[in-house]
Amino acid sequence: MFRTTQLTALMILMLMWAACTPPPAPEPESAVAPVAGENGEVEAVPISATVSPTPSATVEAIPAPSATPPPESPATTAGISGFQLPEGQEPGWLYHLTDDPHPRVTFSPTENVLATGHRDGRVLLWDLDTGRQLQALDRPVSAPSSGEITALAFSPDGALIAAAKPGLGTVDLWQLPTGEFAQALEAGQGVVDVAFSPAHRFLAGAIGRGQRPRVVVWDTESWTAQATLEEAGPAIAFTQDGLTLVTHSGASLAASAPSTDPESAIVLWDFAKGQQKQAIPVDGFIVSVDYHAEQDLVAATLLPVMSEGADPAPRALLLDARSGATVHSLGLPPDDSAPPPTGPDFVAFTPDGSLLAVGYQPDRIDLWRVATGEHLLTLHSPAD
Amino acid sequence: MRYPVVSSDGSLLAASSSDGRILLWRIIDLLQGPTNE
Repeated sequence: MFRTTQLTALMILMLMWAACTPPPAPEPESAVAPVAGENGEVEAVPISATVSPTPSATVEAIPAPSATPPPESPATTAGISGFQLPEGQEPGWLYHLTDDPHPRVTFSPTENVLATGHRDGRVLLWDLDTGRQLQALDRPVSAPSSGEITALAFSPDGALIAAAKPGLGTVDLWQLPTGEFAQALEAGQGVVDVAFSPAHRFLAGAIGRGQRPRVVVWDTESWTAQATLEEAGPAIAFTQDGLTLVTHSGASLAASAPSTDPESAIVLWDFAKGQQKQAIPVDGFIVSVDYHAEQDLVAATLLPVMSEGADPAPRALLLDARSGATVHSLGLPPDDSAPPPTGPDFVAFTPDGSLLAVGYQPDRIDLWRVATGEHLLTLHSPAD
Repeated sequence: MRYPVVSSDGSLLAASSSDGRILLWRIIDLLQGPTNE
């Protein structure tokens, strides 16, 4: 009788234990739908991926989804180092943050990594081998605010990344690959762009939002300001020797405070001497500049000044930096059937200088052949 | 779609879209294929 009671009690205890034990965790799925991020945003990576460990314990660990394309996605093919992009002209995509339109983006010069800058002040690093998020860089917990990011730049050796934060008036710096926050340079309210010189000796920050445009240049060893160029920028680019800064004077759509300079010009500054080496007059509101060393060419996007008989459409200019001559004026193609853009956006040479990508707001990129000024194609965001 | 940038090896073009996506194209594919105008 006693043994029967004991056995019965034992069976009841086993049944209770089994009822309280959670079921075993399911095997990780190889195809994952969009994943909710920590702020409820949606992240998705429509590529196949293998898990890469977050390389540093000093940064916030972000669970990165591993995903294969959803069934409706176009066929994919192997891309660079395993990263997969759709065939043809349909773009692949890395990230989806529904409440963060137009995050800034830049490629690492040394790693197969892409960085994005966000309104919440974080810089996200993405592994282009796998399409996975590697790190999320933020200020230390003790920092008072994160601040919106409006521009990003890697140092040429890939050991630093800089982010312009106009609301805080700082250029925040992180060390790579550790992701450790290095420091916040006091640039001034309205800093909207950053650029490293090619030899990593200087960092420039351009102030333009709500302030009179000016550019501050820091020495990257001492992190002291070496020069402040008044009435310059906010679009900036260094020449190859790192001693000349390509920027502009006069009106700019990126500077909401009026410049006192009535004329617009692309200006090449010897910033150490505080002297203008070259000023190339242009007739319009300058938005961005880029420079190609081998060809000594400056590219700029601008919105022409409204005048009788002038084409009011935004355009890009290719200028000979030495002579100031206009090599090509790249307007919208004459057979263009797309809705007219509302304004010019950023411009970028390919590293070999053969192509120029010209952005237009709100949703357009045109690709041009630099040597001939030939329009190659127009890209728009794909529909969801 | 804004902020076009090109990778340091010249193989990729990236831009950001209004819905927060980072769009990526292989430039060689763009040069070989028909336009999407």
